[in-house]
Amino acid sequence: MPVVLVPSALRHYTGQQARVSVPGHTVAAILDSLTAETPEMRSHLFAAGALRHFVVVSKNGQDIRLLQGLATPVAAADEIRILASIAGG
Amino acid sequence: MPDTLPELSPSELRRFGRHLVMPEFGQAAQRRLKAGSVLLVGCGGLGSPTALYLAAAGVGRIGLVDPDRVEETNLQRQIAHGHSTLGRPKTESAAARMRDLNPDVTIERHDVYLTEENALALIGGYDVVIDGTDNFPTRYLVNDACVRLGKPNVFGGVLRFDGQLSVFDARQGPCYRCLFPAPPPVELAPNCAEAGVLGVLPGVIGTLQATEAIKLLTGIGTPMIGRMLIYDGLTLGFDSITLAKDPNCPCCSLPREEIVLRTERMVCAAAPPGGTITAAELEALLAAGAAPLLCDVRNPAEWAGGVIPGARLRPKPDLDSLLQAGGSLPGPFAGRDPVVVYCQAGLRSAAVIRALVAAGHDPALLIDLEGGFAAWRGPRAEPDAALAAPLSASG
Repeated sequence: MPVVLVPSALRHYTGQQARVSVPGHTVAAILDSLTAETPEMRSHLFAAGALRHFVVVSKNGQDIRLLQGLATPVAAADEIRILASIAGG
Repeated sequence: MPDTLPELSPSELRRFGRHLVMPEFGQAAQRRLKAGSVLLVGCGGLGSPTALYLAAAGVGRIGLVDPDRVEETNLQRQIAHGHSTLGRPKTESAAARMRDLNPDVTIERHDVYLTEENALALIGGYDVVIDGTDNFPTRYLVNDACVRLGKPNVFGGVLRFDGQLSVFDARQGPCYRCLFPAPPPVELAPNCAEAGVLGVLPGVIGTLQATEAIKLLTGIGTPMIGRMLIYDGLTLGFDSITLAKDPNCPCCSLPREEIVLRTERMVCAAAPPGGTITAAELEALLAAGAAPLLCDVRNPAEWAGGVIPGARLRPKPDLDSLLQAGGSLPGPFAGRDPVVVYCQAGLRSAAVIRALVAAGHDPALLIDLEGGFAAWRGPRAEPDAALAAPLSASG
């Protein structure tokens, strides 16, 4: 099953888990599964069905905008990473 | 950078021996460092290690931009400063440590906020920019000015246990806005004061920023252009992702001369029910002699570092307890005068206003300061103990 890597700021939605195994064959389906029971997490990541402007998702180390966006196919061994902008310094 | 590189003095040949012995580095790279210049925007958690290491490494000229003074809460992570410099400007404090490491470095202090008015002039004077700021509006200003001027921007960001690092150089790769076109709403963008930061984390990311700046100045190695390093302090993982240059980027897809610097406004998606006021509007009100009631809901340590003149301290946890116990807004805030509520970045003040309205306060009298104290550019006052009275029914 694909693994989603969750940044520490969003781990309160995943029981503090940094890596979550989630079913799905596309990035969109995986993020749907991931947020099925956490609508707050979904609204953190999406606005009007699109990824928010401060969220980047990668597959195996590549920004999905270099692939097929949310429609990017995902295989069982793939790693999906969620990255949210942080401004602290 | 000048065509002819400066020679190294006998003392520099001794001092930088550990650099010179490396064949990939040698005298050529050391002389490029000596001829080079770096602007550090922010002398806090990230700026502390970058300032010290770049001075120690022999960068010829280093500019420091930071309007703040050293506070005790900084010392958990901002290692360029110390107890002996509490209350002093951060640029002065950092400059003293840098000169102690390398008396030959030229240090230029800029005790100002980076603004849309001064960003091009400040950044234009240096070869490389290091973004070590602590807020989104300044980060977007740094990015847009660097794209406009064709300068590399060594980006670092930290929060809690997470760090990010990249080199944004729009001439060769994506810029910050390609990655993140706009900042998050305030409630999804906690800062270090609100969400916390492991003290050593900016040390990890700041030293990597210094590494990237040295690589850019000397031309050695491969800079982190088009990639972002992601550091997780809890699992101790370093990972990187390849970034896309956005052909429709709101900044770097434009001809450079058409890029206009505009300060991003941090707003709440779930706006508090009362009105809002910007820091500039409040500053104008105070300057015009108005004296609105000001309620600072930050914690006492934040309050101790400086306040908006006349503000009364009412920490959010105390207000929460009071409201949960069925109390109401105490003292001078109980009347019919409008109250401007602020915290550090706007997250807690919006929550306080929502809680007060739920408890029956008139939303029309509660005004949220957009962007909080972080957005405040007007005069600051020393905290007055008389204005930090403990909460009670009588206020």
